[in-house]
Amino acid sequence: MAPSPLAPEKLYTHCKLDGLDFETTSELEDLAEVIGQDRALEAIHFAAEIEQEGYNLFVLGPSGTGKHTTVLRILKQKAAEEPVPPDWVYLNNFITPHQPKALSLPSGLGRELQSAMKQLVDELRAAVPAAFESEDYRNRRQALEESARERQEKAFQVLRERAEEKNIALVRTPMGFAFAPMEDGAVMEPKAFNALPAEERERIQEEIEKLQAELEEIVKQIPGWAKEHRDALRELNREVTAQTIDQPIDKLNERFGEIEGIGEHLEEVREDLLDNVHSLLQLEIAAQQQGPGETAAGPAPGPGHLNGFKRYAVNVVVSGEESEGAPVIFENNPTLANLIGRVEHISEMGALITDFTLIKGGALHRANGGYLILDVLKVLSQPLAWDALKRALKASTIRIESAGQMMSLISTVSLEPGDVPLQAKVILCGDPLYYYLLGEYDPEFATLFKVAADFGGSMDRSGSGEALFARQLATMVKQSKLRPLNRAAVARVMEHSARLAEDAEKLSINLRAICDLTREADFFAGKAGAEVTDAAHVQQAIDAQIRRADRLRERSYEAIQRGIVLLDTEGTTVGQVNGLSVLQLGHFAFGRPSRITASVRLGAGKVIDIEREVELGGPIHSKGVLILSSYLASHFAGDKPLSLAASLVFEQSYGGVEGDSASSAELYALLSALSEVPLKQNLAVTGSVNQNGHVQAIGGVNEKIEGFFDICRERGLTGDQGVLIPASNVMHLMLRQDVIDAVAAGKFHIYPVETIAQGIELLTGRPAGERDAEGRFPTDSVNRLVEDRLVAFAEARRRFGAHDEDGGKEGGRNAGN
Amino acid sequence: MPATEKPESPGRRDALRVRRVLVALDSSAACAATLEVAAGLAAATASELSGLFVEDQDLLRLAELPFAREVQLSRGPAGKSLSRALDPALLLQDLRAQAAVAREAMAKQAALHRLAWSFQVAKGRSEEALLLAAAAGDVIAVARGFGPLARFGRISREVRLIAARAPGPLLVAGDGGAEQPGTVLLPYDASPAAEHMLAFAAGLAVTRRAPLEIMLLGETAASLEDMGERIRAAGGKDPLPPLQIWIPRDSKAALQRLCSLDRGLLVLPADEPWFENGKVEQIIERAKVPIVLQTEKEPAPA
Repeated sequence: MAPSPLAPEKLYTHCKLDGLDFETTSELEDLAEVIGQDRALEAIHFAAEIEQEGYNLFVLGPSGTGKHTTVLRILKQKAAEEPVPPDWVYLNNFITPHQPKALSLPSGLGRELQSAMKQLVDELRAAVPAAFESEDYRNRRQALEESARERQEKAFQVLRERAEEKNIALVRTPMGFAFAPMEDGAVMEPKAFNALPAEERERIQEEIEKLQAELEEIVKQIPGWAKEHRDALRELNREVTAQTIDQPIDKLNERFGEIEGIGEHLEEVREDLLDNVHSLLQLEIAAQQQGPGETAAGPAPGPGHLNGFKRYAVNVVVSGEESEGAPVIFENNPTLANLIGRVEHISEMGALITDFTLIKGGALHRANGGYLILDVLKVLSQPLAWDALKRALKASTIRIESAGQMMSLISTVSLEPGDVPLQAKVILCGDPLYYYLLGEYDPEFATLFKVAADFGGSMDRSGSGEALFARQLATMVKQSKLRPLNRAAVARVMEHSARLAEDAEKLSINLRAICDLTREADFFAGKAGAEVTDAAHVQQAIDAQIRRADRLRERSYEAIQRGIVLLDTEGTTVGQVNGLSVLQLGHFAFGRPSRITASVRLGAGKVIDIEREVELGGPIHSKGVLILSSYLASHFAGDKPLSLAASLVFEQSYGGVEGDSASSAELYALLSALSEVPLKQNLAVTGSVNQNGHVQAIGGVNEKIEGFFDICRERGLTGDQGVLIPASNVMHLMLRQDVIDAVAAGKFHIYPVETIAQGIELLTGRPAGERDAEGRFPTDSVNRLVEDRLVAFAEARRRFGAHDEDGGKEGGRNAGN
Repeated sequence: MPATEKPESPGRRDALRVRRVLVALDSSAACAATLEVAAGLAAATASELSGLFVEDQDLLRLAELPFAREVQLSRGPAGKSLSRALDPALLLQDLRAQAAVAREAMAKQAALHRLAWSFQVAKGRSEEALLLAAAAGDVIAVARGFGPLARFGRISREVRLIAARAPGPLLVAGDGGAEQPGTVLLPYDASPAAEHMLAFAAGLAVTRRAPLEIMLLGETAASLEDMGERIRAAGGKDPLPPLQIWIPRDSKAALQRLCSLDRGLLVLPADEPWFENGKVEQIIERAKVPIVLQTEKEPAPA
């Protein structure tokens, strides 16, 4: 039996004003927690408190549900009660300069150490030159210089005197020394030498050879003497430097020495200063004399090898100096470098160079000891960032590596900064899709993000739901410093929220959309000079939102009204029905009626979905069509093969069809085509169907009804127009007031349909028909006509088969003859 | 009498009327340091810088001797002998290479100080060739231990000999690296030689913007105030540098100061009576800074 149309009160669930015991939202107390997310809140608290590896948090839920805000608020509250984590600094590694050391210090001491080291260097800049200018140092150095010079000179002088005794001169040559016989204070002329008696010449030659041998011995010793001299000078320099630096370094040791690693570092600083401070100062003076833009000649330093006093600096990458509690960091741009830190380079003489002072910490460094909140889509869309994050969490260390280093793309000298132990909770926020995709495709994901906080998109309207919603609204209004909403306005916002939830029994907790609506209503209230936002302002804001977004809807309806898109709203036609679909354009959705047609002929039992054939139909739509074949096969002529060929098409649809909400409409068209009973075009249909003929719930029911209503209203409501909807969608109805008014006036009807039989009766005006005791449908019922047609198809097919078979046999015989 | 009317006080420009600084060169480190000091002096006196490289006669004779061998200071690869046979062609090749290096150093210093410069190669004995090349108005600059037969330590005799025969002051430098800017120190005893060098020293101090230290010797203490006045007059329009005039308590203190000056320049009028009895020799041997030596007396024969 066909269902009765729905009463107007079933089409919209009003918010009961007497349930709201306030005049305006200013009377309501603020809510501390977000509403309707109890499960997610429990998960967040659990993840924040559990101190085990891998218990990082993934906050999933639709956008606009306040995931970020809620997580941030809860974590900030918790973090405020936790201790401030230690500072982290990078220091020069004097042994392997390209591997700077990472050290931790109690919070706030990082900057103190940095300042103290800077002060030490400043002191040394003044004190060391003074020490090296002192008379004592100069005298001792002079003594060393003279001693070295005298040692060498004496050796030569002794040799020279011995030679002179034999009238032989020690002669300086361009490359060294030589001996020559003397005559009258000058080297003997070769002629004079050759004129000497042979014995005398031989004697001189022998003497000279002996002297040369002695000279060679002296010359061999020169490098050794030079080294001894350099060592003595170095020792003197170290001694003088030590007198200057020991006291300030001892002071630093008293202050910081007990911190792990600092004592050893200060000892390394001391040793390095002893060897290098003098030359560093000279380099600095030379650089100052050369002026900016010039550098002292010499090879470029290696990675991290510093020529100046910079090597004693302290690079504070994390400082909790001004922090209270543990850090809660939200990194909005989680690139690889912003996550794990980076090593910057500076250009010098055309080359890119770096050192440990150019190491910059990332979000993980800043969040170490606290919490790091990231948007999962942003992390995943940044090259190498997701892998780096997982690596850090898995190893519980932060290792700074550039993308270039990781992929061996660049050959610039760089550093390998020491690892920093990581103790932070990472919170990823994002769409549920990413949570499930990561769970499916990334095997490490489940071990690193063990807690999921699942934010829902709606909450129950019954019970205390509306009261809580009102308080949430009041809190938002106060936080956004808007005009208070009166009771009616709150009720209208709530009803709109139910409409957004597509469920009269639910409230959408898309806080962003609600907040935007409230702000816009406040704007209209302001324009009207009202002190309190009223329901009319809310409605004005809703209408304005729709108005801003519905240009395409207008164009679509205009095409129908002008006959460009064919759609009948009166009369009857065989194999043709008005289907309803929803077009979603951003945040705005509207219903669009479409003509669905079916045609049948003799065939092999296949229902052709033309949308699928041309790849305009999605898989769910195809599934719906396949269900129709199954329905026909199971309901009609079960003892005969299904011998029809049917085609189904969404007429004038060019943009693709997805979903199964038109499957009941398609079935009605098919039944009409088979039975040749015309369908009423003043009705439109929505609902999916199962193979037993039950009509099932669909989405977007409100938009679909309103879509057909708008077309009918434009053409003039006749009083017999309406929409067939699944009965299970009645609870979702939150229709526009003009639709409700038309229903109340009997000009438009909404039929809740549970089965295909009910629907076909409404659409044809004939009973669908039920099988009698003999298993036959009543005469003239739709089902009887359908079955008869299917049986006729089956018979015709059998006849065709027999004819083919006979032909075959004849052929066989002919062949046999 | 007003200071401007004192004809006996030569002005700075007169005192510094140096036509040329003639520097004796080879490729040794001492010569490079001497060249640097000489170039500084040429710049201060706005004179020409001239280099003289001598292909020494004693070296050429040595190379012609049949057994001539040279012990090299720069060591070759391990196992290579330190000495090599010397012949005239090899020596000339070495000397010419040395001359080229010296010329290059000369050009560099001249460019640095924006000086007019020249370079020449001469043959003969080093001292004689140098003195032959020098003319009136020249300051000769030599390194300590000039020439192939120079001694290592006791150089004062050779230095004094060249200074006495030179037409002008002799600049002796090149020990202990480049000159460090600092005080111009003049020992003064009111002798004509000291008087002449007073203006020279004052002029140098002004142009080098270096402090001027006058050490009053003998009976000159009374003229302390007058001394200041005359130095100011010698400075001309240029502002005077910091001036220190002082009297040493005894000869030992004076000698100590002259030998211990470790930055700047020593202007030494060596013919002052105070320098007799071997004091000038001591100073030349021990001084740590370049010396501008003015003397007309040759040392006694050794």
